[in-house]
Amino acid sequence: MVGSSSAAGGNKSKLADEEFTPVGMRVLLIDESTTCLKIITKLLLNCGYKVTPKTAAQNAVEELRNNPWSYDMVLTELHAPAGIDGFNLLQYAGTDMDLPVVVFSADDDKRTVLKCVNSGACDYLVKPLRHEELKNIWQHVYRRKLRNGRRAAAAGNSSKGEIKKRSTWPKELHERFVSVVLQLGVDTGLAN
Amino acid sequence: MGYLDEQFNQLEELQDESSPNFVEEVVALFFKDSSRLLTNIEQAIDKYPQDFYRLDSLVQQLKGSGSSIGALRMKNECSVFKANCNDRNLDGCRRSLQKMKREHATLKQKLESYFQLLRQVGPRDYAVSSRK
Repeated sequence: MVGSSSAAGGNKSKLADEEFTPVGMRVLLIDESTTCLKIITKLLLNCGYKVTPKTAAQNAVEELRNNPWSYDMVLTELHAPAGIDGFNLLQYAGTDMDLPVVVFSADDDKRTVLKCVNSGACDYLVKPLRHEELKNIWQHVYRRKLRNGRRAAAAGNSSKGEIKKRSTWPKELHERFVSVVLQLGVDTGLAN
Repeated sequence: MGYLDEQFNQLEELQDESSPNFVEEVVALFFKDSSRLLTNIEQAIDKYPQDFYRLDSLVQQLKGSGSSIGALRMKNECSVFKANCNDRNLDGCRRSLQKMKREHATLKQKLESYFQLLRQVGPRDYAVSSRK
C-alpha cells in the first residue's frame, strides 16, 4: 500500500482501494484437529491466500514472536484442550500485536460468541467453514490497514505502508514463553 | 437420517488436480483422529472421579472434526453427549459413547465401501467431477 505525503485523507483511501488485493494474504491458521487443518488449508489456498498451518496455539505464539511481520491475520480454532487456546492467542496476537484475529469453532453458543467478540476477535465463524465465508475474511486486514492509514494521516505522519504497532511482549507472556522453551528444549522448541 | 450431510459434498468439490485424493486423505485423517478421541473419551469416562469438563472438551473436538467431514449422525450424537456432560449424567455419557462407537464403525465401513466403488467405477475425475 503506497501513501503520498501531500494527499488528502480521501485520496489515501482511494489509493488503498486500488492497491489492495486479497490474493497472497498471509494467514496463520491454528487447529488441533489435523482433519480440520487439512480442509481449511485447502479452502484458504483456493481463495488465493498463503497459509501457514499450526496444530498448536503455543507454536503459533512462538511463530508470531519470531516472525512478527510475516502474517496479515490469524485464523484460529477457539478450542484447545491442551495448552494455550484461542482466547490466549487473541490476547497476544489481537491485542499486543494488533493483528486481526478471526476465531472459529463447532460451538455456536451465543455466550461463546459474545466472549470472543469482547476479547477482540474480528469475527466468529461456526464450523464447518465454507468457501463463502473465507473468501471475505480479507476485509478484516483491509479494515485494519485503512484504520492505521487514517491514524497516521491524523497524526500528521506520511504513511509509507501500514503502520502496525508492534509492542514487546508483556513480561508475564515472555516468562511463560521461556518456560515452554525450557520444557521443550531450545532445539525442538523453535522448530517450524 | 443420512450418514453424511452437505459438507461431504463440499469436500468432494475441493478435490482437484492438485489434490486428486483429497477426500480419501481427509477421511483417513478423520478416522485416525476420531479413533484416538474415542479411546480418550472412554478412558475419561472410566476414570474416577469423572472430569466432565475434560470429557466435554474431548466431545467438542470430535464434534468439530465430525462436522467438518459431514458426519451428520456423529455430529448430532456429540450434541447429545455434550448435554449429558453438562448435566453430569454419567449413565447418559456411557450411552452416548456406545452410540458414538457404533456410528463411527458404521460410517467407516460405509465410506470404505464407497471409495472401493469409486475405484471400480473408473478414473477418479470421471466419478467425482460430473457436477463440475
